[in-house]
Amino acid sequence: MGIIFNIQEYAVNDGEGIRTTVFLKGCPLKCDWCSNPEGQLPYPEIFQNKELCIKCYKCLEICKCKSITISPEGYPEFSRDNFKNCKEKECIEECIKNGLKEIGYEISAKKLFNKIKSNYLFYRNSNGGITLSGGEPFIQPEFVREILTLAKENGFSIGVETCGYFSYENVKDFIDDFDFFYFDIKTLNAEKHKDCTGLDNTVIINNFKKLCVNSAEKITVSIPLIQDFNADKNSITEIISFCKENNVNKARLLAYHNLGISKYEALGRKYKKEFAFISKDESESLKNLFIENGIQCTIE
Amino acid sequence: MESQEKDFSPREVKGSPSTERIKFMRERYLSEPLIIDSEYINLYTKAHKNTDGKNVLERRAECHAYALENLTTSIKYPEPFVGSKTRFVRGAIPYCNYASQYIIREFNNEEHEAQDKVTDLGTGGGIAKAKELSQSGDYEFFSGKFLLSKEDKKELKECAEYWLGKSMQDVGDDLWKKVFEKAGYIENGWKAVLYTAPHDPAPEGRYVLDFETALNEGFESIINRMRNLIKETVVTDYESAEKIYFWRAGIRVLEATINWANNYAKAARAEAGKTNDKDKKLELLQIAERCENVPAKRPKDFREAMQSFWFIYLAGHIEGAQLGYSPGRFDRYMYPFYKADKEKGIISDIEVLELLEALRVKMTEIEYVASFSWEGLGSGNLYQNMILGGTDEHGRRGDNELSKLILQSAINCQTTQPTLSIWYEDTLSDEFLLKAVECVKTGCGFPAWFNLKVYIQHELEKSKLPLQTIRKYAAMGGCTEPTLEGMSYGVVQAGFINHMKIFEFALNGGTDPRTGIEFDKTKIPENYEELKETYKFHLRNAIANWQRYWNYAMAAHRQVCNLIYSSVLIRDCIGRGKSLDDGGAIVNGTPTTLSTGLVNVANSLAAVKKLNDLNEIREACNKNWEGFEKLRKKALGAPKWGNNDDFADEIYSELFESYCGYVSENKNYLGVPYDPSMLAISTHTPFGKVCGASPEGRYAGEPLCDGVTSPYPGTDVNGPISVLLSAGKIDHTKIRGGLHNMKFHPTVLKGVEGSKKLLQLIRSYFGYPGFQLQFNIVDSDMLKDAQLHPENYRDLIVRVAGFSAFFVELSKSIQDQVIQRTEHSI
Ligand code: SF4
Ligand code: SF4
Repeated sequence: MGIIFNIQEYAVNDGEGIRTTVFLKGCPLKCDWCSNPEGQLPYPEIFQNKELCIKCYKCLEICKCKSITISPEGYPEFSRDNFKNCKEKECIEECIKNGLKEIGYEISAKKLFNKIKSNYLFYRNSNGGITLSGGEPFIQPEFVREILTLAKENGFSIGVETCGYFSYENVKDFIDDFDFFYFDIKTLNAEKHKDCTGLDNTVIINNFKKLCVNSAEKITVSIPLIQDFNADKNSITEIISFCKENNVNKARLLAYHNLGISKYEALGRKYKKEFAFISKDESESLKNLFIENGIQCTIE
Repeated sequence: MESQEKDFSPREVKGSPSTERIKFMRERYLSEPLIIDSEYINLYTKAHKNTDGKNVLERRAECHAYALENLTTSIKYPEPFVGSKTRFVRGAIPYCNYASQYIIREFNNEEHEAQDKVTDLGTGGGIAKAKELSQSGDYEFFSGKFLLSKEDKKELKECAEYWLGKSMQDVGDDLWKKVFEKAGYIENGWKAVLYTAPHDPAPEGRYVLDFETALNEGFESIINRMRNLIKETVVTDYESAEKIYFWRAGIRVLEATINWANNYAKAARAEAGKTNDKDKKLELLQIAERCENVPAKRPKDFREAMQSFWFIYLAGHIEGAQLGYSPGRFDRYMYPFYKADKEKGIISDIEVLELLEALRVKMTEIEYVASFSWEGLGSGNLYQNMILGGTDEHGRRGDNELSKLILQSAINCQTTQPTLSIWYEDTLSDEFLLKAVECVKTGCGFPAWFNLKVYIQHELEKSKLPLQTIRKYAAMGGCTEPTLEGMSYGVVQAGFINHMKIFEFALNGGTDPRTGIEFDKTKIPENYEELKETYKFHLRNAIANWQRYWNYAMAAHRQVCNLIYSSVLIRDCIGRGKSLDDGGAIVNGTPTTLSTGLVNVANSLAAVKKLNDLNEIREACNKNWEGFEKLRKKALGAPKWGNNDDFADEIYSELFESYCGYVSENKNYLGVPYDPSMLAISTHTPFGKVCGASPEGRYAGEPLCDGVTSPYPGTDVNGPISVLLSAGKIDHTKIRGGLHNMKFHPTVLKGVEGSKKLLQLIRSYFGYPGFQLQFNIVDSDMLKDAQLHPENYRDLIVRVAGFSAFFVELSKSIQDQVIQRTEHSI
């Protein structure tokens, strides 16, 4: 069994062809800019859309585990820990405005695979397939291994997007079987990394090197461009050298945006910090640095 | 379908007219008001008064011929080829010979048809301008959006009164209302909006003339063929005598068309005489020369072929009250002229492009007036469909250089007509396909994509014609109904059937809950099975009655409005000596029966099956879910069509099969079984308006789903591929036509990669095989609309760098940001 929070069809930006992207839930990092915060915690959470709420308090009335109180603005407020342990979750059923949803569910690799397998004609015609994303897929190594095996048995292409923070030991037997990787390198500066993601980058850098031994040509380095963090010539030049040392010659830049902000509120969390946007010119000039160094690079 | 006056927001691809001439023509069109022109019908009526006692075919021919020959010619310089339906840039002919009741009613400002109340018309652009002018006092306002001058009003009124009792509608009414045992059912059906309003005011269309022969042979030669046939025929009985009448009628209309072209030649010469501008003079003289040559003779070059095509096409448009009358495989039959000129080096692609762009403007200038509710349903759109690509008769690649230029002309000159389609085959060239996607990216909504293989199977089964013939002449008549070019009867049909209304009958013992009218009394169903069977019972009756009614109307059509000009230009009317209404066409199986809302019925049945408490659901629907909110939440959670979920998909497939079966049980006016078809145009809104809440969770009055297989908005939560997998489960070869709308945010289609992925999507779906796909590329206006009407955009996904979400689930401020990005970032 594994836990996922979304399956996206016709994902056209996660590799070659028409793909189905599965988002696995749970991530060891907590990046300040994360736009999919619902992917961070490895268990189902309540997702509360206050714009739909009419303050009828039906949810509150039905709740037996007393995890709901009323906020100063009059919205129901959830004790997230209580909700996690609640079996009934009747509040969700009770909300006729559909303002409450549970995000994240458990599913077996087999069931998941059967669901996405039915798109085979689309994969076949486009050299597409499956992409695992998240969250961090490799913190569910058994689940990932099962999906990978099923995909290979059916001749489907399968790739993965990883933040790089996982135990290599757990995946070393099969990781090289993936057809491609989007591997996040946020910065090579350990301190900054810890500051903005919660953890230092030693594990990531080591994992990257290990993976490069056999799979360097399958890796695209993925870099979120964040102002005052890594969107400067120096930081990027460091990443470029690091790529070259490890024979990786593809990169993808993702310019910062804050579109995920409303999801934080719905999950009862705070959006830690807003960053300034990166201009088109800035990202283009950083992209050119890669190209000048013989590394293919795209901006999303 | 897009409304006529839409502005085009910035996209990845944005074109502009390639020359000043086209820019001028397009802007002139956009700034002109819509006007009613009664000249044609006035002349026609005059001739009708003078031809009493003539054979029906000859009388019809004479009236049209006389009117055509005497129309005021209107040369709208700087158009590169001439010919205009009316004296105005955007004029419409009120065809009193088809129906005059609605015109009289408009003059008397009487209550409109029951459906007018539930139909919305657009109000932008030229319509707004007309409103303004009507306040000046010289014009009146007619039918919600047209101007009508004082003199025209007088003429039109006289004509309309003359045709009372003589028009096709009145002649038909006099028959079916008196002899058809189910007449009451039909009239009640209109009151309850089980059916769309009577289609008599604009019933023609959905066919394509034999342009190949008309262009290449020339009218003089066709006239000679008919003369010879007359000579050779020995009259022995009624039938052989009728042939003579038909050919005489045919000769009369073709001669009139040549005369009409000659009138244009004279007018062009006269204009040339009036100007001192040397270039203009030369151009007008060249136009005059062309008009003297075509359509009488074969065109000498591409320019002359354009002029000839336009006369041939337009004359048919004038003869009947057309809707969906189409140019067909233009890139095939025009190609030899293009190729010859290119080889000789006498025309450049830039010049061809200008001509093609001019054609777009001229086709968009044609307007039509029908009863108020039908205009609302068609959004004023004429559905002139030009279909590109496909194959030749041997199955080889059908696209050519001209096909690409046609796409380019649509990218450059953004107008609503003609609508473009692609006959998809894997053999089409990459350049052509990528150009077609580029056109999609402008956001104009076309080309629409059709799977040729599916249609070929359908037509092989229905018409049993040789494969090569079907490949060569496969075309599109109107929005999404395929037809064989130059050899098929027009898909003249009665209009649409409202599935949801039928479902309401089934749920309520055969009574319409809104009006209280009882149709066929049935037992109140108690469970899913009974409900489904009762629905099928009512469906079968509603179809049969509708088809039989229309056959009476067609009998009147044969007498009053039989198309002579079109008959002569459709094979094998001349050979058989028979008009279209007498079975002259090679294919007479084209008339379809149309319906809207089957997906809603399938979803409703799925909810009933899942929730398994029909009595409670019925009560909830009667109360519009008030007090049943939790039940509604459950109903919404029940399986829905469009998620690749067999629970719902199998119900839909079953209903679809039943529908196809019932439609084919009855014969059309030409003695061939009716053909099933499904599309929506804009019927889903007025149809939904008259229906109460439905078990799927829909509230009373909400629109039904559009298209045949498009899911009800917001119920396809699994994503675009699942929708196509559901759609791929039905047997598309069973129906003539059908459509599937998809909406995409431009980010999904970005760059050549995005284009290729769209093509892969189309190809994969067509592998199932699906029949049709069309794409809406979302623009900022649409997103703003989505903020106001989230229920219609539930499926819209926005993707921005690693982030994706359903647009309607984003908070308002984030939505505003996405809108800004849509405007600026591509
Ligand atoms: S690594 Fe990705 S999923 Fe994890 S917190 Fe950072 S941005 Fe979010
Ligand atoms: S039941 Fe829904 S609408 Fe009512 S208070 Fe709770 S969240 Fe808000």
